Amino acid sequence: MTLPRATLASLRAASVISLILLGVGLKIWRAAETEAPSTEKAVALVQAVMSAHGWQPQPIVTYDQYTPMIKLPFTKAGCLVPVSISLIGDTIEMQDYVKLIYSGDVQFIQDGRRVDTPDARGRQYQRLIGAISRIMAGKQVVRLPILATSPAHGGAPCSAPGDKEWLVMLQNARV
Amino acid sequence: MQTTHKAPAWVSADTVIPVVLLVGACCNGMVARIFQTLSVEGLTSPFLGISPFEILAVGIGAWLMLSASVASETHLGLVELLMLLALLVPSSAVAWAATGVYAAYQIATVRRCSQTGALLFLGLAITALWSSIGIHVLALPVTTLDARAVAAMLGVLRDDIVQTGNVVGQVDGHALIVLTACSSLDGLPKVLLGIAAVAAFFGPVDVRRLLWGGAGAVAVYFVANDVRLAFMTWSGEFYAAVHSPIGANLFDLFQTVLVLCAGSAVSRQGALP
Repeated sequence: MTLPRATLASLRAASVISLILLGVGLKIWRAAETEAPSTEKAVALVQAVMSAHGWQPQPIVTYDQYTPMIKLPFTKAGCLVPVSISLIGDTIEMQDYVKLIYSGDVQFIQDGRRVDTPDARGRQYQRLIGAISRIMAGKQVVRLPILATSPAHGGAPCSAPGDKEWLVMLQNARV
Repeated sequence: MQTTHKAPAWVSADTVIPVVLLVGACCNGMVARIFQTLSVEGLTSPFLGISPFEILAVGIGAWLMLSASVASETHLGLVELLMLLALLVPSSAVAWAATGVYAAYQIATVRRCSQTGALLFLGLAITALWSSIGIHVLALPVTTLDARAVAAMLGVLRDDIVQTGNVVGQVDGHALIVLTACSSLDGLPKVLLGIAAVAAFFGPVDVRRLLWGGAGAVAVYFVANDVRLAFMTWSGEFYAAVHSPIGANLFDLFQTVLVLCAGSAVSRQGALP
């Protein structure tokens, strides 16, 4: 039995539309599941890391809705200068402002590494790798916001923790 | 660029497959943005996070392809199947890349489709990929360009304006951080896409007028956006006013007028000279 030409054409069109709708559904599923740089989670993780090193969290400083930055100040007994950790999300272009407000005494933590200047291409690359891992292996990849620490150099008793602690923080976030 | 505007001569389920694929691919590219806008802003955003010029380009592109003067059957070939497979990948960037590649394939090989319609889809894909990836890779130079222009404008009127990278304003007072979302190079590609769509809608496009009109629109848009940024830099009150619904709607209105005027001006059958 041969189906009429018009019926075959309609079946082909229906299959195409079904696959397109399936693609739309998969993207909605991914958008719902994706944990984009999660601010709340990052704030909790930063506070946990700092508390473990004896730093007391101070009231969080937020800006207007068009300034994507949250400032987490910390103080510690015996340390004269407070440490500030600012979350700038994926907004690489916030770096100039952060450098200005801290008079250049700032370093950034991007994907668990301490850097002087955030790397836009590296961030996009990590995003791509995260998307591929998710598609190929179904792995949930949590990307934390870029952090700015001031004073710049980490690891000393009166400054923010060093690289190792931030890497551990990132690993904890991925659990 | 030549366009023939006829009612669809012979539209069957097979002849619409390239159009369905391209429109479906655009839906795949836009759906994550719509979902995120809905989850953050609810239904308050009128176009659910999608630029009206993108919607215009999809509508006019599809209409032009369906209005192609020669129509014959399209079988589901290898390219179409690869395109469908690409759409199943849960990534908007992949969907936009597939849209661009398939539109380019249509332009290069398929005579029956209107090349202008496919060109609009190609432009839309490039615009979307620029907004989602390209501009973020070049975030600092792009935003610093606008900050420099704002500092140059305000420098004529005030001597307390300082620019450092993409930050412009007073040293210990009100300052503006130019972000990619408000930079000229974020909105401009969408405006140019809107101009191309309107021009294609009005009829045959004169390439020389298109180039001149495009260049003029680029200049006008840059100046207008940097004037807007200059107002935001002037004081906290002006910053709030520009960000208010009235300020935002005025800029949207300006963009719409620019697209309609420039789009009709570059078309030989346009309403404007």
